[in-house]
Parts: sequence; structure tokens; C-alpha cells
Amino acid sequence: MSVYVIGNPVPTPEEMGEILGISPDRVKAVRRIMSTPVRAKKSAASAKTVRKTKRSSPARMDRAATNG
Amino acid sequence: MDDVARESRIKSVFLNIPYDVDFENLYLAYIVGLTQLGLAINAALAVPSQGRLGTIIELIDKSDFSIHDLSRVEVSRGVPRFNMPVELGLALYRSHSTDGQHRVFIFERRQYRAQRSTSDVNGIDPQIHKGTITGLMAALRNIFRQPEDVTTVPEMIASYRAVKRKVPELRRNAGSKSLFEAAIFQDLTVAALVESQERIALRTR
Repeated sequence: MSVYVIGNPVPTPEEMGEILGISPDRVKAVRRIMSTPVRAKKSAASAKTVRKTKRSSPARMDRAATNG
Repeated sequence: MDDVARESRIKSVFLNIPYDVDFENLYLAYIVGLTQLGLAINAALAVPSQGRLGTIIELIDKSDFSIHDLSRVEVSRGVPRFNMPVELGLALYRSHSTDGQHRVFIFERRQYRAQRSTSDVNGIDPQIHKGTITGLMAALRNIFRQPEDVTTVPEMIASYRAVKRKVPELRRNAGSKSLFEAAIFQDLTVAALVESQERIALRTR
């Protein structure tokens, strides 16, 4: 199968917005969303570490020592 | 073919794929991959429905290419899914009546299945993506490219991941319940190009 070479340059988001019939403001909104960093999710491993830290927190250890 | 003068009109592709949740990732990959290769996508979901068949025929007529993904033609709730093969038939007729000016491409998940399910098209080699994003991007690059190889498969995959991460926000912004609605489809197309520009800028820095 032969490769088809696309003759036109890759359109800009704004050019594509025009082709799709969407407003420049909407293109700007998409640009804004794409440029906002994604908030990192807590991984299962780090959540586990937090739990472990909580269990062996100094306060708990103090309480355990007092009760004993 | 590399010497072809740059055309001003943006070539377009009619995209014929199943619109269902299980196909969402590949749908997104098609949008990202095709737009990064410089193509505008014509899809029935982006047009307000005024008779589905008429819409599909118009979209095929105005497209330079069509892609038909036959990965999900199996029986669904006791009934075979015939929509994709029907649309493939319409595009093949269009190709025939334009002396091959309209180019038709078949995509499949499994090797040799299209030859069995739709044996009339045995002259067309299907692109097999195996249901994976990498497979799909590689298949798209097998059939389309820019004269200066503007984008690579790893870049297309990286863009896909970047756009996918933003899907919840883009969906909220478009007010779309599903990815298969006109507003979110348009925004995903623009998002893919924003990401594409980023990748090219990174490469040329």
C-alpha cells in the first residue's frame, strides 16, 4: 500500500476552529485548558506511605507508651 | 510525491467508526492522529442530524479520503452491526465514481478478519491496529504523512496521552455528557492541534 503525502500544511488550532465553525474564544478556551498543568494524583504507593507514617506517628507512640 | 506543491485547501477524511464507550480511546486516537497529520475530520456526529443517511453521503462526497474501522462489526445484543459496512459501501461507490480520487482505507483490529467478513473488498489491504493506540497511530502513519514528516508515531502517542489527560476538563467545558457529541469532538480536534504545535516547538527548540 502506498503512502499518501498530505499536500496541505498542518492547520493551526485557529485555522481548524474556522473550518469547524467555532468561535476564536472557544479555541482560546481549549488552548487555556491544554496549557494548564494537570494536578498530580496521589499514587497508591504514596498513600500507603502516608498511612504507615500515621500509624507510627510520635503522638501515637507517646500514647502507647503512656497506656502501657 | 514529496515534491508536490503545498496545497492551501485542507484535505479531509470521512471517519466511519463505532460510536460506543468501549471505542472511546481509539476514537480519541483517531482524532489526535489524523489532525496531527494535517487532515480535517468529517464525522456524522459533528453534523446536526437531518436524515442520517443523507448526512453521511454528503460527508463522503466532500471528503478526499475515508477511513472505515471494521473492528466492531460483531453481533451486539443479538444483532450484527451493519452500519460500518454500509458506509464502507457508500464510500467505495464514491471512489469508483471518481476514478479513485476518493481514497478508501479499511482499519481492523484482527488480521484477516475483514477478508472473511467483507470478502468483496479483498483488493484493499486493511490496516491492523490490534485495538491499541500504538497500532492505530502506526497504521495512520502507514497511509498518511506530511512532506517533511511533521509528526512521528511517538509524538502522536504523546499527544494522545496529553489530550486524554485533559478529557474531563474539555468535556466539562463543552458541556458534553459523552465524547461522541459535536461540541466535544470539535474541542478535541482543536486540543490535538494545540498539542501538536507544542510537540513541534519542543522538537525545533
